[in-house]
Amino acid sequence: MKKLGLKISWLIIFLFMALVSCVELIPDPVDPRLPIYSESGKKQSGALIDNIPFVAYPNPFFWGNGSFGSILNKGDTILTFDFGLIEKNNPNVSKSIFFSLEKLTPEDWEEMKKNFGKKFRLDNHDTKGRLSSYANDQVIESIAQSGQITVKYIEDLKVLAGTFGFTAQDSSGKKYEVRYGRFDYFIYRLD
Amino acid sequence: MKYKLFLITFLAFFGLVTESLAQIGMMLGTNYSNIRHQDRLEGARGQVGLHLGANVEVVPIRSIPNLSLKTDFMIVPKGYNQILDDIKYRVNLEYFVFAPMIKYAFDKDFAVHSGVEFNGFIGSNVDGAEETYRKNEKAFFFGFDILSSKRLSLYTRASFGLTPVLDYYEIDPIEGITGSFSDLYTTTIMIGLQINIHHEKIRFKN
Repeated sequence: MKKLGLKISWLIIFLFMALVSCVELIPDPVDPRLPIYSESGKKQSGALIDNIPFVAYPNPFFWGNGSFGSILNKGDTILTFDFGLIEKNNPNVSKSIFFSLEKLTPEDWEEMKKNFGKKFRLDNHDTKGRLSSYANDQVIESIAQSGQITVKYIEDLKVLAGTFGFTAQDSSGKKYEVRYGRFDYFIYRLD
Repeated sequence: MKYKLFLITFLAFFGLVTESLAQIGMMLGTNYSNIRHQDRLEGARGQVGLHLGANVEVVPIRSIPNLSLKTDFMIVPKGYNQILDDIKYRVNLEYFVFAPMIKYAFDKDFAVHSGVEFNGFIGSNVDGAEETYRKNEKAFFFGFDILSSKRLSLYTRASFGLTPVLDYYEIDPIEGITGSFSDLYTTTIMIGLQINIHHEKIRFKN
C-alpha cells in the first residue's frame, strides 16, 4: 500500500513537472523579457508597451485569463489577431492587443509566404489595431494611429507569425507606444 | 563532417605516436565568462562557473622533450548575465570542449600552451536554447601551466570565441524584422587545478 502511494506521489510530481515545463516562454536571445521571434507555432506573443514587457504564455491555464493568443481566418479575406498580454513582472496587470486585416486577396496570402512576410500599415482603412488597458473594471481602448503589423504565413504548419509596432492614443489623449511586438500561433479558420 | 575530420586527425595523431610517454591529468576549476557583441545586448555582464575535465599529453619528438601535444576534454559553462529592469537573466551555455593544443615548457615548472577549442553545445538553463543557439563553437585559447612537474599543478587560460553562437533577426522596434545577424562571441578566463598522473607509459599500437 505504501509503495502504491509512493508511486502515485512520483506520478503527480512528474505530471506537475511536465506541465510546468510546457508553460515557460522561450525568451528572446537579445531581450529576454520578451518571447523569441519564431515561426513554428510556439503559441507565445509579447511586446514592450511604454517600455514595460507584456507577454502571453504558451499555456494560459497556469496564468489565468489575462494571457492568451488567437488568430482567426474568416474566408481568407479577414484575419483577426487577439493577444491577451500580462505584465511580465506583475501578472496582475493585463492589456490586450487586437488587429483586424480586411479585404485580403490571394496575392496578399502569397506575399505573406515570402521572406519575412507581408507588412500591413495601420493607417490603412482595411487594417486596424487597438490596445486595450484594464483598470478598475473599466476598459480603456486606444486606437493605433501609425505603425505596422507584419504577417508571415507558414503554410505547411498552418502557422502565422510576425511582428508589430505602433503608437496609439485613447479618448483622453493619452499616448501609448507598442514596440518590439511579436507573435507565433496556429491559425484557426472560422468557415 | 568537420567533426569527423577532427576525430580522424585526433586518432591519426595518437596512432602515429607508436610509443610515447603520456601524461594523463584531471582538471577542476572556476571560470569567468562573458560575451563579446556588436552593441546588441543591453546590460550584459560576465558570470562565474565551474568546469571539469581530463587531458592527455604526449611528447611526440623525443629530441624536443619541452614540446608536447596535449588535448583537453572538458565540460565548460560559458555565457553571461543580463540585467534588465533590475532583474538578472542568466544565460548559461554548457559545452563539451575538445581542445587540442601545443604546449612548451620553459622549465620543469612553467609552460605555455595554445590551441583551438572545438565546442559542442550540450545544454543550457534557458528554455529552448537548443533551438536558439548554435550547436558548435570554435575558440582560440592560450594559457600557462605552473608547477607542471608536480602531482598538483595550476593552470590558467583565456579563450576567445572565433565563431558566433547566435544567428537571429535584426528587429526594429516599430518596423519589425529588417534582416538577420550572426553575433555573440564567448570570452572565457579559466583557472584551476590539475592532478597529474605522471609518466604513465601508454603504448599505442597501429
